[in-house]
Amino acid sequence: MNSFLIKNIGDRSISVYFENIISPEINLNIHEIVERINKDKQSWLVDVVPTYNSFSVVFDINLIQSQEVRNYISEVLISKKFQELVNENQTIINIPVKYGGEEGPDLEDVANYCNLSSDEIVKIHSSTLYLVYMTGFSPGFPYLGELDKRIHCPRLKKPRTRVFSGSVGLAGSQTGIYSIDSPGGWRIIGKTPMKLFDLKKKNPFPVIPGMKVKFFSVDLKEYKNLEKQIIEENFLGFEINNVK
Amino acid sequence: MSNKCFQVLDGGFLTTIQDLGRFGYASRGVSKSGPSDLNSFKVANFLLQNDLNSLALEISYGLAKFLVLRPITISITGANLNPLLNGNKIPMWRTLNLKKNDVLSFGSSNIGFRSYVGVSGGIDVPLVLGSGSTHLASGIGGFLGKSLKKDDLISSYPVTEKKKMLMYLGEKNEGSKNITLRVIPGPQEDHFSSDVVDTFYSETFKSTEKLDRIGIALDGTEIPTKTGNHDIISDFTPEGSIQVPGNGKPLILLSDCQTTGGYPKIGVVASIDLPKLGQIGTKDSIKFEKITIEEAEKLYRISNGGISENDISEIVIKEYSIDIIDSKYDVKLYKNSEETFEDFSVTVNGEYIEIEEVIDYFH
Repeated sequence: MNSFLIKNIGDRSISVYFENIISPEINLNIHEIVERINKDKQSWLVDVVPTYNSFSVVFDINLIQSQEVRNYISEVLISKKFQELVNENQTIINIPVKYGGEEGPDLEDVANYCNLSSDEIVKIHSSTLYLVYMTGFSPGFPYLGELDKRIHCPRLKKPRTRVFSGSVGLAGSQTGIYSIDSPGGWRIIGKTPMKLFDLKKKNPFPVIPGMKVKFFSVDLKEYKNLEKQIIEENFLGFEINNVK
Repeated sequence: MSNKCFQVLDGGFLTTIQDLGRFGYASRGVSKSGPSDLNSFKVANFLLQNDLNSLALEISYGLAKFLVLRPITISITGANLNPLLNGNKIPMWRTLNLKKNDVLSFGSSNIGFRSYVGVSGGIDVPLVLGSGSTHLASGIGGFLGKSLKKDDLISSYPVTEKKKMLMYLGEKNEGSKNITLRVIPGPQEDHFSSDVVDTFYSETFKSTEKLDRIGIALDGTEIPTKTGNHDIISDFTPEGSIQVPGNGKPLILLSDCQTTGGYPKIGVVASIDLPKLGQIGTKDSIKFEKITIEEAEKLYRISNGGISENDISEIVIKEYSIDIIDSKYDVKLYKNSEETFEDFSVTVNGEYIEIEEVIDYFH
């Protein structure tokens, strides 16, 4: 965690790369640094974007030049004490998922590929506590890990032209939730009625990098009920636990 | 009073509404969007004395057609997609007054790709996450998150004060069949051998038909990585990123690109040349020139962000009133260029007319 490389990505962003692996320890530290930079509110700051093992600082080229941003980032990194694991007082978001059927058209294929039953896939998928490593691909799409090795499976050979928002997918060692209707190649094992990108809400992004996510299985009736509540009331459709 | 200014008669190939872009949400997976050719977009607003962040139309490839619903002042910049007013050629890079029931239409061109239509006061659409820019893939911003379609009604903010009629004399980003892009080495340049990197900077690539507001796929010599593996742990992908996916064919990302990507970036186009990306059409020849970050910053500083007050001049309008057999004609002469008086346009009773021959009676 103490070794990193600072690189330019063009002339208006600078990235800091840590060890070239996907690890919760590295990622959690990245979120802490990102939060620190965001709180600092430098006038030239446009965005700080956390990804798996790097983060990028986007700056206004009209206000500052890259060398000064580099110096700033170095100072932030030097002042940070890298911790083994930042795991205190964190939020867990429990997300309801209707697995299989129309909502999860690839569940059986995934089960066959993994030599497990559909029930076992659901049990394994919904018993892991996931870290939101980053959001990307589309607004609010969370990349979650780590996925249990027993249910790793490749992407679809031919991506779907339309995957419905709320679809829960698997791809390699990753799992994620489609936040809007979009094309996509992940294998869809279920669907949540929860909206991960909702402009009608004061906070359009309920799930953000650094949070923890757990899925729980609901049947079709519960799914429909939740869906109705989400549409009719100002209800997010998931539970938040604050765990000490 | 209704602020509707355009009824879309034809959305053309692809027409969207853009402002400077949606900033500050990349960490949430929201693309920046904004104009593909920032300089032409800025000039369009600058000419109209609008706020530079005002919403304007971005017309890709052309073929769009609009009915004017109330008197407005516009400016057309970018690629010359052969704009017509009521069927007559009209000049670009200057302000134009349109009347109610005028029809503004665009042809197309194989040089350059996008025109911008600025509207005095700016187009009025609801802001989404602080911006009116259309992001088609997310279905947000602009006109209901979509490209413009027949019968869409576009509104603009009313303008009460009288504004100057201006023309632009600076460097015009109109597109070209031969484009050189200055590139800063990317964070994964070391995934490629030095021979392959040299090839990348010496070969000429061709833009393909896989081209939209998200990216431009290139054809040409393959650019393989050292290991043959073209997957990386996804990282940030700004506008201008040149990714090389598994087929070894470079892919340049434009303003609607996703915020993260999983292909190695051999380089990133310098800010000075980002506007050129918006004017790349199909089958253009593209070469890359490697520059340092310091050179990129210097070039951008000198360019003053692409626009300066000195590039703008007031249009001298000569007005005549001619009586021919009991009919009165109002004739107006507009200068189209500062240097020569041969390039001008003429309106008769407000209609632009085609000029067949210029006879120099003025000296």
